[in-house]
Amino acid sequence: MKMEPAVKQRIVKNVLLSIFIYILPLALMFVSFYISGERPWGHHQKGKQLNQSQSLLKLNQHDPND
Amino acid sequence: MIQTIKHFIDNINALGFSTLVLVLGILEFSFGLYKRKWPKNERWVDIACFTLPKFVIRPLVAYYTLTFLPWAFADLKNVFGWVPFFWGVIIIAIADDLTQYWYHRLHHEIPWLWRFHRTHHSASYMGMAMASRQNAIYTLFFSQTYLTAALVYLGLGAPALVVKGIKSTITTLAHSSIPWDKPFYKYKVLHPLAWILERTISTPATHHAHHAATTDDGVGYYKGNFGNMFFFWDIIFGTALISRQYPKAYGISHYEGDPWHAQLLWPIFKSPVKGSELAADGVMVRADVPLQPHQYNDKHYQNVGFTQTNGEPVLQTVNAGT
Repeated sequence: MKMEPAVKQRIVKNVLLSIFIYILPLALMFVSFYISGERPWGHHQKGKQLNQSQSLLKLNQHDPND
Repeated sequence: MIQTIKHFIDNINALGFSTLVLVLGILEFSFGLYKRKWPKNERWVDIACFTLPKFVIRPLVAYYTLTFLPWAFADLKNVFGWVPFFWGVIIIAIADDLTQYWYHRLHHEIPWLWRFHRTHHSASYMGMAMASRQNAIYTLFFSQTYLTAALVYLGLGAPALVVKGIKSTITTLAHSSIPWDKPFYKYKVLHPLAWILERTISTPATHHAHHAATTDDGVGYYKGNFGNMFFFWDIIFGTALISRQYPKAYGISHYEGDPWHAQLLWPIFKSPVKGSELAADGVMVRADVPLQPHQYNDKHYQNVGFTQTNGEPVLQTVNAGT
């Protein structure tokens, strides 16, 4: 049993539209960052580096060689 | 505030959701909503589909999330942890539900996929009993599960919890045999709300239509209404039918009660029922046959002589073996 050509055509058309819908929230999020001037990924990186530094500091504090 | 919402959703995901299913199930049975439509074979199918996959599929998904992803993408853990909670919810809701919409739709529109999804449609009733009724292979390849797990690994854990809570509640209520959306259609003052509601989320009316034993009769529409949490996918893609009515018969017109092991694990186990789509020589998709009196929900339809032609179905003898 084969799929009807009309169904196949509708699937292809709708898949293309779906790709746009998948991307839409990401695009809107970046537009909102552009408008507000926010750069949350920068804070995250800094936070990450700070956490890593803190972890290293903690490791050093507990260095058994001391 | 966000922390309170997260805490609330956390509880819904843990205990609240199970409680919701249990309470709805008790209410459905108390009000006799299953009528005489929960025969022994169907009970076994529902119970087997509810319990057995949990022992295999859940550990597999846990392995994928906790072992495979960290092994395959070690440097990407929490890389999108900076995404604001609000946007995280929107991203997860769309990614998860649109993926499930497609997974579901393709199982209806691609003939060779249909038999993996057939078990969910073979129940001649709606409600908590059949909500988890699925072929285990269909559940195993639920693509949205793996996509959402990957997004959680990338840092969208909190938004995913919130979406999961909302989605589980909507899909459970859409499968329920309690027509909680009826007042929205009955009272004129609620009609504007009904208009928004039925186009936004899955409701009993639209989802029951998807589970109808008939299609293209103005109420039943198993060729569409594929949405799980959101119904607007069906509106956008032109697969929606909104009638504000509930079908008179659910299930598959030619269903003859395939045993639980065939329904749970086809194609590993085949059905001994002759002519069944799940039989060893079963066709991919069988054409609909006229419904029999016992297949109707309403007693009126079960008792009438079925000779009238005023818009009601005219019953004919069905040879299940063809």
